[in-house]
Amino acid sequence: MTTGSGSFNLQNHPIRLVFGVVALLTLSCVTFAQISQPSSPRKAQAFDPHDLTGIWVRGKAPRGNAPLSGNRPPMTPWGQAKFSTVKGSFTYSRAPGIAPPIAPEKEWNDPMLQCEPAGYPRVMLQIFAPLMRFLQTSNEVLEFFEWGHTWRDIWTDGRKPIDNPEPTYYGYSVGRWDGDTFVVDSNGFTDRTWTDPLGSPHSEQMTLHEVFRRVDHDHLELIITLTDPKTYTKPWVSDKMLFDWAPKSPRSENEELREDFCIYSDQTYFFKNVDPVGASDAPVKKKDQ
Amino acid sequence: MKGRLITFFALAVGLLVFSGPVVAHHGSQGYDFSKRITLKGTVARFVWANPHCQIYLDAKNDKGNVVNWAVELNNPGNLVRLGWTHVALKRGDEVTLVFNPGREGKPVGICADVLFSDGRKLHSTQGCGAPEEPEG
Repeated sequence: MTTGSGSFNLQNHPIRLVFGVVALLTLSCVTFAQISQPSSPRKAQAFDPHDLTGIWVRGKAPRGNAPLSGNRPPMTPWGQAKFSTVKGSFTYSRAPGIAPPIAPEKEWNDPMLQCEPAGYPRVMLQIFAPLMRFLQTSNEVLEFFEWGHTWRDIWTDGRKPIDNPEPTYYGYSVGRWDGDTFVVDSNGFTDRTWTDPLGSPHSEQMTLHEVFRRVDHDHLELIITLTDPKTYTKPWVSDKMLFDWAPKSPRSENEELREDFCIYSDQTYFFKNVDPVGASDAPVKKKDQ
Repeated sequence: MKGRLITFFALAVGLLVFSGPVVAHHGSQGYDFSKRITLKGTVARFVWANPHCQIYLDAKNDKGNVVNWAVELNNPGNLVRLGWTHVALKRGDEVTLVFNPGREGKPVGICADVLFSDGRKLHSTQGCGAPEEPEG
């Protein structure tokens, strides 16, 4: 091989080794990804695309502690001012610029560290909250969340969204079937929550447009579009979230959704006694507690 | 020079190939992730609770004094996924723990393996940084 700057013997050049190693690594990743795919026989299992009933476990994308996507829209001055108050504890390497620097532990002001409700959509984005369960009745779909052992009502009785509902942590939601997708529109969210673990803000003007699709017996997809003109200059469309159907909960000895509560006394005990930063200025006795 | 470039290239590509969405966890900056230590001791307490389960282990130091170590684990739900139960450990159990200790000699730890005398082993992924393992 000859280049403009001179002769370049690729056959004996160490770069061959580098390319070889890289190719091998890349192929091995592809192979691993293929092996990791769900086994195909389950895909043939019969399912009703309008039936979301069951336990759904969040898959690897996003894995958790993630924002809706790395493409967060620019914030309005109001949104920037609110975001500037965030003192968080999580980073996100896929889009490092969208998380504020990790704050010193004493300054953290994440409401969930005070055991406040996660709210929606954050409950779908927290790494320790990967389970939900749907129940369907004649007039609503109930979506239960393991974290907080709580739920939201998604009304399917034909009602329209209401203007200016009383703000809540999980919003006011109406749903409808559009072909094989379940479309949910929500509003009425309190602005006391963070949108995601990074502290991305939202206002009480936030509305969510969600599209669920059961693609086969074992897999559910969800895309959330967040619109909040008080906070963001344009809508924020999430990455496609993937969920795997589970016949029973893999996270509970009792094989049901956990009572996964944040207990304030347990929370403060942990940060005071175990967490090394918190423990550093609190030389409490650790024995026999 | 060419060698350096190749090394840089290889490192950069390797980083791109293997880097995943790393998340920093609250409190993780207090641990020394360059060090693994092994301690044999007695379980003083096993806490099965959010935000993280905990093992308190009494182990003798070099001077023969008993030190009570507090080791952070995953939350209960993720420990169940990893094969633990709420009675996996009890007070008085003699076990060996392998973990990353706290910085500056603090008797705390994370990313723990529990080795039982009958050969059983339990692993907590909390703080291990493995992209395919559950944390939290």
